[in-house]
Amino acid sequence: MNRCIVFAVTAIVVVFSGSSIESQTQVNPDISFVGDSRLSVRQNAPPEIGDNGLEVDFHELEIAATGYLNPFSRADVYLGIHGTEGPIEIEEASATLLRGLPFNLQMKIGQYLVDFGKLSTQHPHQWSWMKRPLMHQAYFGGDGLRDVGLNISTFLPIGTSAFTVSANLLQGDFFGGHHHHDGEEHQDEAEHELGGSGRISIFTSISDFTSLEGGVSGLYGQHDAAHDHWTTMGNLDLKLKWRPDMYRSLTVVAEGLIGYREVIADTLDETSTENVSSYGLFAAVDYQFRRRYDVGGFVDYAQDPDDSHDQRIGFGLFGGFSLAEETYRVGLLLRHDDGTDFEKGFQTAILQFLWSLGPHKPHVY
Amino acid sequence: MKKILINLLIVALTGSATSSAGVRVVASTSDLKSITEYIGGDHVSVKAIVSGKSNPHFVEVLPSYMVMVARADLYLSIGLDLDYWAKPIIDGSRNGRLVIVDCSEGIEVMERPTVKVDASMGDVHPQGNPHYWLDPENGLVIARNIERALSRVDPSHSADYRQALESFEQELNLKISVWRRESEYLKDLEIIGYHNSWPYFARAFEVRVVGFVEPRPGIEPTPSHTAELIELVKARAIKLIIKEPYYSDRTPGVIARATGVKVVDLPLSVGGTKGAGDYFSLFETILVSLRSIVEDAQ
Repeated sequence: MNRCIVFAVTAIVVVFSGSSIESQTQVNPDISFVGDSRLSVRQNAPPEIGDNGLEVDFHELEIAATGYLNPFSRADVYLGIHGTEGPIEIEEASATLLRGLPFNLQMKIGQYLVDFGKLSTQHPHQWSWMKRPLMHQAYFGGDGLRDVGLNISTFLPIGTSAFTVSANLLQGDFFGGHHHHDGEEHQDEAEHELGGSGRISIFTSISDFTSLEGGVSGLYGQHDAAHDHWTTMGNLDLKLKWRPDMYRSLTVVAEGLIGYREVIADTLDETSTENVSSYGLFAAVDYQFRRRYDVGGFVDYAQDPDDSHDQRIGFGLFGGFSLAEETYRVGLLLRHDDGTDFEKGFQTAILQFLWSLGPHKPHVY
Repeated sequence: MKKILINLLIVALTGSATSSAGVRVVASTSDLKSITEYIGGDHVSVKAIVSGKSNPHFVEVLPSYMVMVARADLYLSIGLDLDYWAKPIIDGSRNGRLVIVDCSEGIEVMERPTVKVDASMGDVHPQGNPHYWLDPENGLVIARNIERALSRVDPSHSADYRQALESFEQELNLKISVWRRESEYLKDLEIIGYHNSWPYFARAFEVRVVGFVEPRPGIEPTPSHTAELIELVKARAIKLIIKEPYYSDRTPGVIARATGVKVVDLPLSVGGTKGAGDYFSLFETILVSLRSIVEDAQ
């Protein structure tokens, strides 16, 4: 069923964009590589987190191929390889109809990071805090909220502000594993029902140097096909940026989500269901100075979606230095984590070497 | 009331309402904006993405720029890869009826690389140096491109645009001859620039830019390169470092303290400094600043 929908939508995209195999030009797409190598050391870490002591890790190589398909549409492909021998994962592979649709609509089809909040659309190497927020890991797993789907969005200019409305029809395979009362993590093999999400956001310039973006998102999907259990989620996001010149900027991001999840009730009756509500928060401040340096801090909190009594909290500091633009960055992260699953808190220090090879990309807000 | 609300919704969704402002133009830079205002007169309203006080190489793609472009009829680009950031802005605007014009068309481009360009050379533009508006002769080419673009978008006023172009050409040609006559003192003057923004200006006014504060285009100054520059300034008795107002004073200040060389902020674009209010006064401001420094040095 889901595959039929994806096929049908792809056919619509091809018809609307007027593209065909013959109309492809011989121009190569922009091809870029982002490498992320890390030296990390942990203290008091429990076995499920990893070894204590020093580790050298080729964390990820991201391969990006992006470009226009024709005057009306573009495609973006991001592949990720974790470690030197890891399988190649399709992080994103989507085609977007940019113009030509009525009512300022744009339509994206493929696998992509879903705009449930602002942070969920970004790749972790874009962040000085290096890791996905705990709340995203708790609900969607380490790769964040990505799925095969269809996104339709429109853009309403109101005064000098930009008001964006976006909706996603998703294949439904976006939740990470879930826990039953046996305490084990279960990953559904069964095909999930279709899911959906939406986001309304507004961007406004407060002054010549300061801008503010806020958004409200909702998500609905099936996390446990075997028991037909569903999750409903809401998210609030805020981003404030002050950038008086090319040498200094201050960015504040804050997101909070709340989730309601159907789980098997803690009774002898395996068919009875109860609802668990949980929430998560993430906030970070990043100050850039002398163009190439930045420092900041963050707080990170999440409850387990299946059992809100299980909680995890993290906080830390970071700093970085970029040699030239964003082509080579050395970052340092000092992080403390604690949670109900751990006997005591543990500390992590990561020295990150991040490089990018390929065409310069403008910084999309 | 219901009808008004529906109309408002349609306008908001499509961004296609016509206004009394006439042709709505968004330009990448304030220089293109200034020339467009001259050619378009009352028939146009023009906005620029980059003000004269900002570095045109680095622009964050903000939704507020997309709002500007969503309502525009015409987008004027600098081209030559300087405003590579304009593409995601235009894409994000979702404006399907936008006419996009590259104002570098017809420009005799300087410093077009003859070897394969890579990032070890710094931020070299593969299509050549894009700061062409700093030769006033190129202002004539830009104005012709803009006149053609406006006549295409708004043919009903093409006669007015042609007339304004003729007036612009006369005024600029007159000023060019005055500027050249009055800037004889600049001939063969050796200066140091911060970034490689000035080859067109240097060609127009026969100035010699013999070094840059940046070791490579777009790369922050390094101690070793700064030491070399100090030696260069001393060896050739260079009197002047020119820099764009958005660059830091730090390294030019170090060189100035070591050698006594003067550092002056020159506007790269209209609005870059006080007095540079339009395309004509941009050159007048630059030339007046240079004259006062050179006279002080003598």
